[in-house]
Amino acid sequence: MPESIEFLSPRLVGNRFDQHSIPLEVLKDLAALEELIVEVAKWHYLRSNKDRKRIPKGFVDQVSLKITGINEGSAIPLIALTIASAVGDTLFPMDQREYFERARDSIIAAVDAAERNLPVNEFLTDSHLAYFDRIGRSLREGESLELNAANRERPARLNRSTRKYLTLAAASAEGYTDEVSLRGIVTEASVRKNSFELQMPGLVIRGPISPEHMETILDALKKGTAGVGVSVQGIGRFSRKGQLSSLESLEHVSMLDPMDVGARLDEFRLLRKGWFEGRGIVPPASELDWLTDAFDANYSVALPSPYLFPTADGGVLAEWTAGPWEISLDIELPGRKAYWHALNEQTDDDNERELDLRQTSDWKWLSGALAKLLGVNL
Amino acid sequence: MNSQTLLLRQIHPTFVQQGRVTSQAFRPTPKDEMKLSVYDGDQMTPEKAFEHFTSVLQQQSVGELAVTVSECESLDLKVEADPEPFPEHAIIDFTGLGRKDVESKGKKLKSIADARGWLLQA
Repeated sequence: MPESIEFLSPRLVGNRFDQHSIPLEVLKDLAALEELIVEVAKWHYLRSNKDRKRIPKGFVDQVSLKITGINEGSAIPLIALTIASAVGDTLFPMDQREYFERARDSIIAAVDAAERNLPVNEFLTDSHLAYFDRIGRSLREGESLELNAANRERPARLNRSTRKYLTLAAASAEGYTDEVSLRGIVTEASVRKNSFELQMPGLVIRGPISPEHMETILDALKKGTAGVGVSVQGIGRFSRKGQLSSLESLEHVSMLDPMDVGARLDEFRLLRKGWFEGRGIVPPASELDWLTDAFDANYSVALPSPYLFPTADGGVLAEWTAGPWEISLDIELPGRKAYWHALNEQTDDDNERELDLRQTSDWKWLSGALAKLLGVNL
Repeated sequence: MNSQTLLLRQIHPTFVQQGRVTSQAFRPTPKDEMKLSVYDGDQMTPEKAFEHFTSVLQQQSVGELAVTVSECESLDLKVEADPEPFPEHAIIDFTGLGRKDVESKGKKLKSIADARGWLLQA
């Protein structure tokens, strides 16, 4: 009879895990964790049985890790260790449970050490640490997987930071991979080599093309000459210093609107100090990130994308035309305040308003005012 | 310089998106002391002005738009020769205007220049 024992109850923390739900993409991380547990269990077995040359048959095959339920808070997958053949059923009976539990404890100890910036090599080998390139890769900023959630003082948090620490702790690691969301122009694509080149501000990288994306990439190559960009999501490979060097896999690709806000703001990252008549201030990259996210979050898709221009004092100017109305929003960075001005060139009517773009209410006012002038129903 | 003199304004590459020129190309920046720099079109052709701006002053431009002296004066904006930086230099004076008026007049100048079209494109 298969035997099933409670094995691990890690806690997933973050907004995405509220209401005790787990996004499907996170299951990839848990599958990679299972692979690591098996490898570390085998390692413990060989270390404890130095007279054995190899792992006994059935050590791995008869064991599996299964999610048997999800508890609340934020989400806690209940992982059971299931042993298909109970001890005593085989010619060489053994109890794998001990080695799997030791494996679990080694992994928890390594993550705990990583969280405290301590050496991890006494718990796991380099080849084990390489698994952290996949375990936790889908975790976003602010999210974590607490492997030892029962210990509130030291829950062994796997997050973007500890995952990177563990991956790079292996002396042989040349870098790490991470999920990336990029915007750029396809400047080269090879059907024969199944690869393409993506040009971004200050950076050109190569990536593979999977069959389902071939048509879009080739279309993007044609349109790239006219400056039309693409949005790409996939797995990026980074150097030890955190420099993106290539795309390892491509998951989603789509053509960008020629007026895409993020792509246009990316162009401003290439500005140099003094760019405008020797005195142009460069908008801070973090502020361009913020403005991109702010438009994504607050600007209605029913409205036309604004024309965007850098200003000499380090801000961004957004402009729209609505019939006789010429509209501008002068955005101050890093203050995140904005000055709205609209002029009816036929009647000379004009109006102005100061906005605080840190406030959702002011973004709502902006959308409403634009919708009214543009005749758009939000 | 007379009422029909073209006042040439250099346009920075980032001030054009998908063919649209920003209105800020026709209003002074906070550091301009409310005076917008232009070339006196009676003293310099668009080609010479472009060459001077990009080669002598070593600034970036994708081309030139222009308004006339009378078009500025119709918006109550004075135009004056200002030969100190270089002999062909002139200014459109926004002195004394509040922000709303600067924005409105800048937008109107840009529309006038737009309607005239590019005098030169690099």
